[in-house]
This record gives sequence, C-alpha cells and structure tokens, in this order.
Amino acid sequence: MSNTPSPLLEARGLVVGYHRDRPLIAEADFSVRGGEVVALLGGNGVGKSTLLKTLSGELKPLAGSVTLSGIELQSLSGGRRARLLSIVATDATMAGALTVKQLVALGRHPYTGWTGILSATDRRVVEESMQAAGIAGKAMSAVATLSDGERQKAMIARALAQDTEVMLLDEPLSFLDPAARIEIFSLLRRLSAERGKLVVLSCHDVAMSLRMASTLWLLTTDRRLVCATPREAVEAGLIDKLFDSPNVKFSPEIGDFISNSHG
Amino acid sequence: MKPKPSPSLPLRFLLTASGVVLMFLLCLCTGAVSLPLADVIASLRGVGDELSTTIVMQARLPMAVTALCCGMALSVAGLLLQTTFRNPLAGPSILGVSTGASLGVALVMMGAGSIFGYMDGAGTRIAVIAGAAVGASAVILLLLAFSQAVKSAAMLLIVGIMIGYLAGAVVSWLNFFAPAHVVKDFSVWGMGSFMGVTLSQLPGFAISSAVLSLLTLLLVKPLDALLLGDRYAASMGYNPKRVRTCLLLLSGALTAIATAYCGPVGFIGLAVPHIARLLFGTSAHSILLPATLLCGALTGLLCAWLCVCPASVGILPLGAVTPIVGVPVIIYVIIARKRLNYFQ
Repeated sequence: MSNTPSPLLEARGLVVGYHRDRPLIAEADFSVRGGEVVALLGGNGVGKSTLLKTLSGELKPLAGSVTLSGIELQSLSGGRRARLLSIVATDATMAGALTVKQLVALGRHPYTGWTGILSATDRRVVEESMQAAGIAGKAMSAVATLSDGERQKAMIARALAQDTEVMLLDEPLSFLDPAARIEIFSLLRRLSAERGKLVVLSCHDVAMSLRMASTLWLLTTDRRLVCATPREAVEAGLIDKLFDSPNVKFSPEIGDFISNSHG
Repeated sequence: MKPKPSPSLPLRFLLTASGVVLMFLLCLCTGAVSLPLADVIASLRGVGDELSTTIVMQARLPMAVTALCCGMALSVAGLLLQTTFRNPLAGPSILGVSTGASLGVALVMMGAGSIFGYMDGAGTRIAVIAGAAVGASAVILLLLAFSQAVKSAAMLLIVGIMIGYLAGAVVSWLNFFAPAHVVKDFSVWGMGSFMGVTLSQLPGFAISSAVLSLLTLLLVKPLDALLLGDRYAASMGYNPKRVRTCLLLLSGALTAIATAYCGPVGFIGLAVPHIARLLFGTSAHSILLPATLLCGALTGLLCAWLCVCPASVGILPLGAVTPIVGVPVIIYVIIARKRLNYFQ
C-alpha cells in the first residue's frame, strides 16, 4: 500500500438509500487513499450498488457527506466529477457495434471538444489504457465479438482512459469464469499499485477478496458498514456477520464459507 | 499500429452520396412524361425547352427536394429515438409521434376548415405546421413522462404504439364530425405525398428540415455516451435526463416538420438507421449520423421514384410504397439480430 498523504474518498455520517424512512446503510464513516483496492462485500440487497451509486454522485446521500479529493461530491459539476471518478457498471450497453478502440475512446469524452475529435494525447491515453487492461490485441474487434472477460477488460480500459484517480466497479467479476475473475482482480490490483489509483469494487467472492483486496467494506446484516483489512476482518470474526444464514459459517482456516450442517 | 477499422469507409460514403445524386436525377427524369437526362440538365441550367423546364422546375424538382429532405429528417429522427430509448425498433411512426403530428394537423384542418370553409394559403400552412409540432411534442412529452415510470424499453415501445392508436382514434372522431370536403382534404394529406410542397413553399421546408437535421451532428458525443446507458453517460459528465429531453424534442421537431409537409410517412424513420448501420457497420454516431442522413435522402428519393414509376397509369400514394421499402429491412433485422453486432 502506498502512502498518499490525503484521502481520496471520504465519508462522514453517510446514510445511503432511496427513501428517508428506509435507509440501507446507516451512518457510515470511511476514508480511503490512492493505491488501495477496496472490496465491498455483502449479501444481496444490502445496498452494495446503492452505496456505489451514492459514491459516484448518481444518488444523493440521505444524510452525511462524501468528499472526493477533499471536495464535496454533490458540489462538483458533472464534467469536473468525470475527471476525478470513473465507473464500470454491469448495465447492458448497446455498444456491440463499436470497436474496442472506439469504446475505450469514449473514456476521453470529458477531455475532448464537442466534435469528439481525439488529440495526440487522447490517442496515446487510449492506446495505453488498452495495453494496461490487456485488451490492445482486440483493439479493432467489435465489442459484440468479445468474451465476457474481454468485454470487462474493455470496460476497464474505457474507465482507465477517463484518467481518474478513483475507479468504482459494480460487480466486475459476475458472469466471469474463475480464471477470468482472478485475471480481472489481479489487473485491478496492478493498476492500483502502479498508478496509485483508488479502486473500489463490489463483489460476491469473499474468499478472493480476502486474498486480493487491501481493504474490505463489509455491509453487515444490521445495516452497518464496517471498514477493515482482510486480516482484521477474519480475526474479529466479522465475515460471519455478512450473511444471515444459520447453515453457513466462515472458516478462517480455509478462508472461505463452509456448510454448518456437516461435521 | 493497425490500419483504420475500415479503409473503405470513405468509399462507402462516396458510393451512398453518388447513389443520392443518381436517384435525384432519376426522379427528375421519371414521370408521366419521360425526359432524357440531357433535357433535365438543360432545364436545371435554365436553357431547356419550355415544356420540360416547366415539368422539371414546377413539379419534379420540388418533389425530389421534398423527398430528399423528408427522408433525411425522418431518418435522423428515427436514429435519435432509437438511441434515446436504447431500442433499435423505435421510430417516429412506431412511437406515435407521427400520429400525434397527424392529430395536430387534423385539429387544425378540421377546426379551421369547418369554421373558415376551404383551406389554403400561407397562414393555414403555418397553422398546419404548428398543429403538427404541438401534436408531435405532446406525444414526446407523454413518452418522456411514461419513460420515468416504465423502465423497460420494450414496454415503453408498446406504450408508444398505444398512444399512436389513441391519437388515431381521436382523428377518426374528428373525421366523423367534420364536413365532407375537409375530410377529403385530410384523407388525401393522410396518405402521404412528396408532391404537396409547391415551389414557393419549398425553401421553407427544405431549409428548416435540413438545418434541424444537420443540427443533430452537434450531438454526436452525447449520443455515443447514451449507447452505454444512463449510468455511464452520467459518469462521463453528461446529464442523461437533459440529453434525452433535448434529443426527444429535436426528433419531435423533425417529425413534425416532415409530417406537416408530407403527411404521415411510415417506416422511413424506423428502417433507415438500420440500413445505415448495416451498410456502414458501426453504431458510432460520428459515422452513423452522417450515414443515416445520406441513406435517408437516398431512401426518400427511392420511395418518390417508386411512386411515380407507374406514372403513365397514375401515381402511387406514398403510404403504399414506404412499407414495401421499410418492412423487409425491419424483418431482416429482427431475424438476424443475434448475428448483428449493434443489437448486442
């Protein structure tokens, strides 16, 4: 973990949700820096996506504040925010007939004029982003012809081209086979380490997050957000608080969940 | 570094543009009296004989320019709607925007026609355009309102179709109560035609539709961003709601102008963006938008030409021709959608 002096993303008393009377996450406080890889863990419906939408500025916090590079998130203009924070979402796109290069070039939108014509710098950033995400070999392929893993790399390359310090990824590992999952997670780790980016990803794979993330945000069943390193989380027995199932428990020895009924 | 995605892209633009020019000249040659190309060109240069000059300048040139502009306007409107609703099967006629414009025109024609008797003159022309604009905008606003509640693009499409039927029903009611001569005027207009625009009305129509069509070229970037969906567009610095409203109003204005002058013209707005995607192989709007403009002009002219082909016998109504051109494209696209990149 690098020691960037000031936190990139900070929350104070953050309450997240769609309705004031039904908050999904209550009073969260956290502060994360560049070079960290944060895995956001929690069961279905606890508000992982909602938290990410709040951090990307799409959704207003019900209470509390989020600051991005020290600036109140809600006070940032769309264009300004787009230069500080990029996302990778699971939303279905209609980008199938774009080439990977055209898709990645969309990441330069906050930097280009109304014509969208790329400068030499823009083109260089697009090339570098495709290289870094390991998708440069497919630059001229249509997005529709990519495998799920390749498509995810292309979307990550697009976010990289946006050249932001913070990258939020909503379930980037879903729909991927195990090999592709490890590959994508390693890619995110490398990008974070080499470029000092803050990477926040929501994830269902607890075991992989414990091995590969530097920080965990655990959304517990009692609507709290607990911030811990993987080691702390295991030692304090926090992992078991993620899911409300009497038949499943976390085994620190194996580093994964096991069934309770057996043995 | 690899070569550009398609080295033949300029060639494709060149071929489509030449197609537009050829089709334009063909439209000037074809009709009840067939004119040789030399006579047409002489008439255009003002050195032709009186008869062919009259035919070309008074009838065929306005028709061809109208077809070209109407084709462009409706095609671009269709593309904007398809991208805005993220649904390749959206279009001004499908979503009820054309029918909304028709309803506006019906209200003007039957309201004014019943009160003042016969309809003619510049004043009524402006009233008809205003009626079409109000009708199209009303449907657009309804769609916008529904798009807040109906998240699924397919469901919204069905809502649009329903709005279209509703507007059509109101038009039938108006027809029921209107005097016979107005009903006749309206039903002639309702069949659609590129021949209703006179030489004196032509500049107004050509300039307004061309300017609005070309104005959409300013929106290439937000259109591309919308391909990724609202979340991505917002993260790239756009305000998706504002972009969407702007695109919808623009497509409404384009549909209104085309409908006011040419009557309700179906299928061009729905089919041409697909023709452009199939021919140019991309959904990047920097290419697709100009391609759609060209293909729209070409398709408009093709339909105009098909209408006048049997001119020795009579002229086909436009509404009898556009489905012949449009429907096969749509059915092909639906059948082949699994193989088409832009559907993914």
